[in-house]
Amino acid sequence: MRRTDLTLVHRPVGVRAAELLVAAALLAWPLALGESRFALHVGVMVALYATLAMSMNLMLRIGQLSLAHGALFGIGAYVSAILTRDAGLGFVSAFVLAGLASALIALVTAPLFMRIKGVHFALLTFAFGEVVVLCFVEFVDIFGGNNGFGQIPPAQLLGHTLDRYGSYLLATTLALVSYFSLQAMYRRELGVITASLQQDEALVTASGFEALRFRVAVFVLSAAMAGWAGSLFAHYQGYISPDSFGFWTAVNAVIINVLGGVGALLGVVVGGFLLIPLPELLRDLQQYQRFIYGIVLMALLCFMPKGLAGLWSGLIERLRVGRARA
Amino acid sequence: MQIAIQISIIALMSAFVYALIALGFTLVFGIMRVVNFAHGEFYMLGAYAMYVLYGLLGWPYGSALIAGALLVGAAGFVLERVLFRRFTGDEMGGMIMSLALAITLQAAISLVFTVDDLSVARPVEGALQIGSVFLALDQLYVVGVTLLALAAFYVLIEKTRVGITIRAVAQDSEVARLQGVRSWRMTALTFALSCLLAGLAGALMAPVYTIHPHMGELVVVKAFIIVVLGGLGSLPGAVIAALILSFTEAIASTFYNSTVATMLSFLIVMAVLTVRPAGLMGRSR
Repeated sequence: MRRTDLTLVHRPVGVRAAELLVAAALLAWPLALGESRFALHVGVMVALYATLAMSMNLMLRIGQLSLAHGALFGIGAYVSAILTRDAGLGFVSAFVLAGLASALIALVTAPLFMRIKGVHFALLTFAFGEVVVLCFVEFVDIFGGNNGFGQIPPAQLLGHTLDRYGSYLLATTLALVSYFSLQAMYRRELGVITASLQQDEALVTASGFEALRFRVAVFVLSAAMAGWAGSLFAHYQGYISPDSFGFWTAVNAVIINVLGGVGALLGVVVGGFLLIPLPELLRDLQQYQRFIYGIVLMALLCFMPKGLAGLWSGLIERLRVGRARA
Repeated sequence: MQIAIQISIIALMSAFVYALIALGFTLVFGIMRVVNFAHGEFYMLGAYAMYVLYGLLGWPYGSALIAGALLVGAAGFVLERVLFRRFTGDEMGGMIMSLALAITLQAAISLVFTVDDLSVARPVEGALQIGSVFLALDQLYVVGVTLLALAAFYVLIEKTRVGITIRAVAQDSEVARLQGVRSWRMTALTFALSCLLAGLAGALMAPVYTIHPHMGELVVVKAFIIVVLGGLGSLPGAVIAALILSFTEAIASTFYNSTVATMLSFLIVMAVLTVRPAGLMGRSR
């Protein structure tokens, strides 16, 4: 058993200061380096998909691989788009409601879903995700069908319509808030409970803890995060269609987690930084893009099963052993 | 009456093809505990093998069919050794690996053959007329070959020593090992067999439908619905569920629309998974 498993971890002040510094730098760099349209666009995408990957991380922490997260992302996007374009609501209230809508769907389905474990859960959420996407396709009057849903008004804050830099700030803020809140939760009860459930679920439930209710709560929180990311995605793009929210969106979020290492949230964010820009950077090599992506992924799974985080901790361990010998 | 017979022939054709695909899918799950999301890609590879051997190189239909299926089986054998064996006992890891494999195979095929639709000439033309009912000959052909393959598969699994060993490993690999079975051999064999069946199905359907790199995606979804309905790992369940699915599909898409039909089948899958995760004929572990 690892020493840190069941203790509340206090991290050194230096690490926290470094984190805040990086966060500030992420928000402010366009001011210093000048706004590049391309870099800002990639930045928005990284922030939104990193948020989705972090919401997936919550699920993976409780050992449930959800393939419905593409659909939950989509529910947030469509709800926000419909509320602003068709119902005439403001951006802020639509944004809030979008996350709540995804959370509500999760809350309704979770008591059934969270009883199912392992491969069956993955298959169940896969089917659920497909049903949701088919709804987007089938109900043309509401969702626009395969032609997509266009003319979504851009995000507005305090009466200002957000430009590209504004969208970048908003998306990055969402990612940073998600990151810091999840970090804080993992350090406190949430982390302790997930670790103890993993080690001995029978014992934990026997001591009177309701594991099912806990899992439901985690799923609802994770869905809300996905919904909020989806809402910003819709307002940033101005146009959404069902194929942005299918099975592969969820798979990509899983893949970012695999690359980064499920056990380390920072690794997941770094994984997002590495994987999301790839398609944008490889645009000239478009036909090779997916092939390279697939090959890299298989190599990662074979040679780096614990992701970047595992690589990092392995390196530290090796240094420590070397120092002890010297 | 006429419509009913024609619908049944189409439904039977797709049921047998689905059964071929789903049997391999469920066999691999039973023995390796891997949900192979790349299974549809082996179907796609079978169709492309047919395109190359029969369409481009002009081999006779029968030998192209057999060679194509064997090639796909051999590819499966190698891939099991290189990619999947390291995930023995890790359901999630194996599943994610199969997703990565699916991406890679689709992209590789798109690179070699482009993403355009391809087609292969039909081995037989024309239709058979019985009374007032017309039966397309090539569809009857598919029904015949798949029936033959299903029968061969049944004999292999139920009657031969290899089949008994495979079932033993699927039931309890540790006990099987204690009896002297080299379970890794059976795993490799099973994966190759499963890919061979998928490849055969793809090769058979190549002349009937158009060939494109994403053709496996839809098929793996069908296999997945069948396997969940029948119970993960259950062979008779897969055949029965294949029949149920293709008949409801044929009826629903004739009288309603196909999106509704798909949505309905997914809702049934969800109901089965939540109420009885082991499926109609599966056993829970």
